[in-house]
Amino acid sequence: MTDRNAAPLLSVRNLTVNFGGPDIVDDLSFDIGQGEIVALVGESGSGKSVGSLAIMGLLENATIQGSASLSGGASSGGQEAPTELVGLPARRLRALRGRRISMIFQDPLSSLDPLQTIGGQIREVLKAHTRLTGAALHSRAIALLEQVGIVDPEGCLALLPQRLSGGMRQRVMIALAIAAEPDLLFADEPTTALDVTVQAQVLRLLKGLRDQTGMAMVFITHNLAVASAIADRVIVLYAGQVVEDAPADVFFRRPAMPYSRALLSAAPRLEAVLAGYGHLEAPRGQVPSPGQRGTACRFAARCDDVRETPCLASMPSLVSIAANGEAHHTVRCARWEELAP
Amino acid sequence: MGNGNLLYVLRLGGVKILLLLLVSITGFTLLHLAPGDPLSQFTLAPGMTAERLAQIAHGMGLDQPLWRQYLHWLHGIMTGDWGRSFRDQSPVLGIIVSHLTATIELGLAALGISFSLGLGMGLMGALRAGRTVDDVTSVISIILFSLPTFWLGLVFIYIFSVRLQWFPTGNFSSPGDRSIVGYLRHLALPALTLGLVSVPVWSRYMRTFAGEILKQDQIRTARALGLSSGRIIVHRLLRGALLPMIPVAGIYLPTLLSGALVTETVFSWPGIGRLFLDSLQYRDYPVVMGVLMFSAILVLVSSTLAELLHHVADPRLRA
Ligand SMILES: Nc1ncnc2c1ncn2[C@@H]1O[C@H](COP(=O)(O)OP(=O)(O)OP(=O)(O)O)[C@@H](O)[C@H]1O
Ligand code: SF4
Ligand SMILES: [Mg+2]
Repeated sequence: MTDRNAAPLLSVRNLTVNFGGPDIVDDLSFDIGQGEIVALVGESGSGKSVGSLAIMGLLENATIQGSASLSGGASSGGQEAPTELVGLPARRLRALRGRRISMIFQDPLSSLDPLQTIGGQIREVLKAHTRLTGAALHSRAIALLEQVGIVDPEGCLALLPQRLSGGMRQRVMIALAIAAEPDLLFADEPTTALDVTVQAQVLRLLKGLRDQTGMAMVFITHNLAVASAIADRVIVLYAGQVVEDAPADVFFRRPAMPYSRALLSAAPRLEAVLAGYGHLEAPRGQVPSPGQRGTACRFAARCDDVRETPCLASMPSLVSIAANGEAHHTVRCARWEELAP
Repeated sequence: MGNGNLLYVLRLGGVKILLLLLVSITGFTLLHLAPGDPLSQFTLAPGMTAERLAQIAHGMGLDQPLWRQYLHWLHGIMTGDWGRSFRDQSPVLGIIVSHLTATIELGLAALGISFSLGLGMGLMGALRAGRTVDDVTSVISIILFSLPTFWLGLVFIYIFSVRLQWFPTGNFSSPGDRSIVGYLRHLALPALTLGLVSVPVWSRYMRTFAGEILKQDQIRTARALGLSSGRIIVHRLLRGALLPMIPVAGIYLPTLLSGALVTETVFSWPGIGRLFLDSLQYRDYPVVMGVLMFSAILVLVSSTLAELLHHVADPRLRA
């Protein structure tokens, strides 16, 4: 799926977000390739949601710096000039949302309009982004529901969200998000609120949609087992920074950052997750809060491999550790070379 | 409408009729226990004798025991005969109807003012939560809430009628002036008074309901899907916040009546509020009871209509 030679779909550089206080997201840089599924993992408060919402232009009262550049999507064959999302006027951002980048959230019930039928909500989104009317609008709505695996799409159109099960609601939510065929979907813990069997179904659905449509996806999760089930690449966020960014197979075999290792050794295997245990078990200690991140390695207080120098001397920078010919792999650890197995 | 719905309506109706009976009994009893006597207006008439007075009392049914008077009155009410005024013998229902137009006009004008201001203020406060607009609208609401209606009316009269002489001090119209503009000038101050004092109810509820919806994920999701802010404000926010306003309106609309009582008195507005106070002063029991029952019915009808409307308007209740 991933073609590293092509220009990335989304290129985030030095993205920094604050709400008037300390920076919540700090110097975030990563790329999302066309059609790539990237798992964004990290403990609660690491800035996964804030970072994604900032890129989507959905944060209010936030100061956003840096760059998030969205290239021409699959639809335009990458011919369109890239669009800088940070600082884009609200109206132009709105026009991109839904059509180029879309987002789904954890709780599908509260995400849907409780007063409008599923059909009404799908038509609402289609009307916002397409010129479809009448029968064409209707059949597109049906096709979308079929695409997300709803068995009786005609009947579903007439229902209110409250009449659907949790899994069905999330499927409807996904249908809404892909209605205008976006190139990139942010999925913020889309399966966390679902029970385990449904969780697996929704994961399969999302992966299948990517295979079908070539839509890229940023999959936000606490759960490394879920990440391993869906991701092409894993980005680990710690205290507002990227600390490791690696292809999934490399990441799960040979994580380079001590924090990633701690997470992986604490994480249950996929079977355990699907049986109902599976939240990311944090290593001992606590994430420093945004105001107390200091100038040393932010993981130092919890790291088993910490040394006065170089760890506390300065903030390690994100460096590429990919050998020649290997896929993109970066890590933020001053001792990665010594610690490499 | 299914069977369940019919049953629901019947039960609702039954409870309300019981309530009406209770109101009428309480009103009737209190009125007759209160000091004062409807006959006092006749005692000072020249050439009045005790015999003649007793005759009048008999004619008015006042010599009967209270419970008999009540049953007689109740029977009349149910058969459409609301009795006759002690003052001029004209039928009570006719008197009420003739005073109703003035109250309805005042009420509608006041409602227009309070609804648009109140809903607008609440919505603005919610959309700008925690900012200056929110604080300002809250403070205005609190001030308006704590102002006594009669005081506000008197202040308006003092400022706009006495000092600035922009508006007349009261009454329905000036003698000889039948123009629309003249009428509106008379309506302005009472409508503004009654309207302003009921702004806080709508603005506080609207602020709460709209604030709750804005906190919901559905707003963020709608934005994530690329819906326009106009669409989101009208279709999600307004629709969602106005729905729970329906039962609130059903409860608070009738309180306009008590506001009208004061407003109509301050501005000598010839509506049923003033009719009620005048009749009370003259111990004109049939009219007082008539207005009381009329208001009680209005209260019940209004809240019932609101409940039914809410039932129809909320798709979740229909499903
Ligand atoms: N609107 C806001 N104003 C101020 N601070 C905020 C706001 N939203 C989030 N934060 C703070 O930003 C930090 C990162 O939050 P974020 O929601 O991005 O974390 P997360 O990684 O998504 O965590 P979780 O896994 O719990 O969802 C938290 O400390 C949070 O308190
Ligand atoms: S820089 Fe030092 S403290 Fe930080 S993760 Fe690497 S080894 Fe641990
Ligand atoms: Mg989050």
